[in-house]
Amino acid sequence: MAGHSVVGKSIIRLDALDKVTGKAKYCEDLKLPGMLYGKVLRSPYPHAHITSIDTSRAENISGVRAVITGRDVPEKRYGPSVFDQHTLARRVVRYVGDPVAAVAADSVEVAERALGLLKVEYEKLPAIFDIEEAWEKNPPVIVHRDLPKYELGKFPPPRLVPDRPNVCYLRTLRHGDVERGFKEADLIVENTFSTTRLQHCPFEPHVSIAQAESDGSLTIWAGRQSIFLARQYLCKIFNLLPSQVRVIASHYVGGAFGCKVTLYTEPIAAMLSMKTGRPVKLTFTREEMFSSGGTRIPFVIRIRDGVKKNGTLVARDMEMLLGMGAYAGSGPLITRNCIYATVATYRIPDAKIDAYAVYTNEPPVTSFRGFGSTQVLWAVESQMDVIAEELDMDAVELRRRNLLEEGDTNITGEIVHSIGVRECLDKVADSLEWGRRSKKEVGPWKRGKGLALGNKYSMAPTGALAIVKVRGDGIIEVHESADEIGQGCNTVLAQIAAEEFGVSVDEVKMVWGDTAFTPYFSRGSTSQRTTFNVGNAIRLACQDAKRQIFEIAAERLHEPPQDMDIKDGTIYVRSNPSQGMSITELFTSERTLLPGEFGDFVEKSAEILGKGVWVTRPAPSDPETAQIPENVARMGGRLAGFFGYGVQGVEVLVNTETGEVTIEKVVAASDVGYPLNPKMCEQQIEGGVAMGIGSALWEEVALDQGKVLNPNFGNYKMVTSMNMPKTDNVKVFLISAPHKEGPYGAKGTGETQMTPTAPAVANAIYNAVGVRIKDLPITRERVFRALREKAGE
Amino acid sequence: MGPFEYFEPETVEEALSLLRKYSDTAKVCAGGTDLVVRMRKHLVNPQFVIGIAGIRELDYFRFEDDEGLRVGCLTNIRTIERSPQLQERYTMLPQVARQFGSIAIRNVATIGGNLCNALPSADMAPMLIALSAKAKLVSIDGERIVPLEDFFTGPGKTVLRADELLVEVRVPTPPPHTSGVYQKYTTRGGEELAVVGVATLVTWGSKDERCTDVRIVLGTVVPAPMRAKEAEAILKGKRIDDELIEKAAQIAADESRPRDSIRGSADYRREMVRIITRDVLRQAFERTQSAR
Repeated sequence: MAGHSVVGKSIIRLDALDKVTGKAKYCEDLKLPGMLYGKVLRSPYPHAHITSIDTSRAENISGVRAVITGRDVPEKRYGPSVFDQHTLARRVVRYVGDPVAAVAADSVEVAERALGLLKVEYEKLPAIFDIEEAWEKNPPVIVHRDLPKYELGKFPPPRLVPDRPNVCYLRTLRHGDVERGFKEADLIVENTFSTTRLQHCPFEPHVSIAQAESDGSLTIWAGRQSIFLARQYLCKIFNLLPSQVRVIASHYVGGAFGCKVTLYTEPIAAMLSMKTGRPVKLTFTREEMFSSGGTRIPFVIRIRDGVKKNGTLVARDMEMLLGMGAYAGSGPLITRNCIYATVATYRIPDAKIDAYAVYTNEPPVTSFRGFGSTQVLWAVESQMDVIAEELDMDAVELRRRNLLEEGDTNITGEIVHSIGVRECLDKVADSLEWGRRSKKEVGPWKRGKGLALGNKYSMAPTGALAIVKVRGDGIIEVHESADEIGQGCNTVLAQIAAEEFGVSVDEVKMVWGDTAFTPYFSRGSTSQRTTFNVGNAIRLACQDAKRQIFEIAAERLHEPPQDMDIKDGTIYVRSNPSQGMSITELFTSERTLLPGEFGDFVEKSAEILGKGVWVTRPAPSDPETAQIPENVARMGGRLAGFFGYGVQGVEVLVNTETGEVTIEKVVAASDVGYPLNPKMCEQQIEGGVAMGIGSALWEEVALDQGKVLNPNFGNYKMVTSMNMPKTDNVKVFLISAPHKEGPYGAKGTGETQMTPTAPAVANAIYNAVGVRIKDLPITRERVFRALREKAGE
Repeated sequence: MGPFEYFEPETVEEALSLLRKYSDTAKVCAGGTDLVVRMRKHLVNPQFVIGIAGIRELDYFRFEDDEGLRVGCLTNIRTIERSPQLQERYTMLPQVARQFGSIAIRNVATIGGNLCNALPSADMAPMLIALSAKAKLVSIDGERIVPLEDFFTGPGKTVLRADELLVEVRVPTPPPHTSGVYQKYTTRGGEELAVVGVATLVTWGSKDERCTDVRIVLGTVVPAPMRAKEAEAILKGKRIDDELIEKAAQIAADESRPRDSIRGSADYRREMVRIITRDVLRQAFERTQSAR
């Protein structure tokens, strides 16, 4: 964009040097004087009564400072939406890995040894694992018998289904009349798709240090996302006021991808600290990450579409079952929001969606990059190719025919704004040489191409605050509460402040991550909301600070403040640019107390402190139809902050003898509104593609009777660099459909990038060998079996 | 990991006397890439760990004119992978090593450790068996030489006694016109344990087109690395064509004993044994023929 000097440039990340040299500090690096180490004993059964716990032997080991069990934890349950959880199980365990007791000791080894001496007796209960069975009206096992009596949170507004006792939330959408739509259809296509559990696999596992202070307050150092959400939950659990809980994450976080929104370590570490009075660190092992650290939600998706012969979509009916595992966590919110993936891209005259959040006795799930959109798009974008095939129509053409455009109304009644998906699609189709048959095939290897559209909204409501403190040395200090989880948000946010002040990012200092000092950011760096919301707040804070600067300068320069501007630390008069003064001069000259002293204050207003607040509010919508009233939509009422779009195309080779799939080429285009730092946008896309390939082909937390079979990187197959196409064969395009409210038109982009990958891979496999895999992951053996089945037809 | 006492002997004798003293309660640690993982999972809980990495005299390989190659047990896999001499005289060994773990693992893991841990998926074992390698086992009482083919007795089990140390692997010089190929099949591709591993070694007669000797050794899909002798038998002494290779591959698949696991069902793995055996046989025959 013209006229910008810092934003829009691929400046090097502020943390690059510290990270590549290993100097960057993470929560796991922190060590406090007198610190103890916590460990958690977990249930070996998927469903059982705890009949007794004997802690005496563990307590007697030298070096053990505290042992806590369910008896010690608050009676009141907590949770983000359904209050269904205790910090440690009190009477019942509901999954293999449910925390039962915890130990604080002088070392991890002593704590581990103590766990081995805890004697817990269980009485096993029947358990339920199958999502569809659990969803039934008379399920053989009810995971939470007292669910109707549980306290329910306000967001999302609770909605139980009385005759389905394992359903803890229901989301419905009704747009038009779906049965009428099906009557108009020339073709009806119905399929069932499923997705599996993934773990986020961040470098740094869940970790926190808790210190119970002598005044009854609590300080937490955490490697997490969303310090204010953690504060809110901890207040609820321990019945404390917000000012009594301080959550600090002013260090780097070793990756998150969604799993660090939930509380895992903090309340247990806090209880151990309360009991000992000493700081307690609790770090998950990799095995605990898999069993108890949250996974992506497994979905069963039944999708039924009606289309005209010419490819026009006329009706869509979806029924989705989301497996929560044993506790709801952020699952109900995901159930509420996942339907937006269906909303964002296509025109559908008549639509009906039902999404159920279903308890089972499997490990609890949590947010995962994409927040449900990725799973829904697995079904939708696979289904679009099935429809194209049945209509004997080109898959790109089918999609083009149904795309929403700027100003259209989507199936929630929202008027579409900032939609760059068509341009993304054109770019990918062109770069992938869509329609041209691929080159040589050798032996059993067959080549194919496929693509898919992706999208991800950014959730509203969101409130972000920023404070910009202009220092006497000219440094612009930005205080905000985004989580630096590896995405590089500090760099982009510093670019925004630098742009506003006309300086380089070297003149900007970022201060972040401490609920006691940095300003509120509602749910932290989740839902790809940081750039959009915190970025806007920083812009406003900069403008507020500049207003104050210009007012002070106006007095000294005897010129009106509205005639002033600032560049490279110099305040100048627009009509006479040679007339000006530096920021430092506002603080120094005759206003220092002693000669030669550095100016640290401004006499008139003490400090130059700009404040900014940015709030994104959703339009009200009907709780049963999810429809935004027409008049609200016309006034610009929106479903979410914005929608980001991404289209990805892949070329694969499939081995018809073994089922092996290799990704030969990836083309990815994404509408980011406006790329504030193009290189970092590209990196987000590449990372999303890699994660998407892993989820498409290999990744699965495998369970047997609720127990994780592969809680390690030996058997949980993450994507590796060896599985990625060569660098030249990964092509990335940034598309700009500016958002009228985005900072410089920018939209967030972290989550969008994984949403189209898996269906693009599945579509390419179909194109190569003619088998349609509907269940993730598309393992070699699954492809092999599908090929066998096809050959036997 | 449970508590244990750690020893770092500097000589073989010292290590052997520790082994005699602590016997079953001790574990030998060379590179530690298997042992440490197993200890952390509490799959083994030794009271004593004897770290032999400091016994530098066990880190070597050399060629003896009459007896071929001798490899000290502490030789790491990366050394085998990168040695120009091995590349020239025992091409098949670097070819195996390249498929072993990751570079980081190969830098630490040793040939002795890989054999003594005796995982069915141990990558070094099938090719060494195909090459008729032998292991030199020593204890305070003396030494014995055991063919690797007889060394493994089951998953994680070998003939090694608790007071013995495997100190050397001896690999006879392959006859002229011999080539070997190992291929492992995995579920992802890249830095993983094998789902199927097949080594083959093929020797051609110097005068005619007949295959004078062939070895097919299966890994992973059997409780312990095993020769597919029936498959070998139908190839030995024959003129080789693709039909015969296909037949041998099918027989090898029938001889394998894969189990259902999270890495794949038994049926699928058996079918992969057929494919991989066919592929390694084809490659080995092509190599020997092009070398002639």
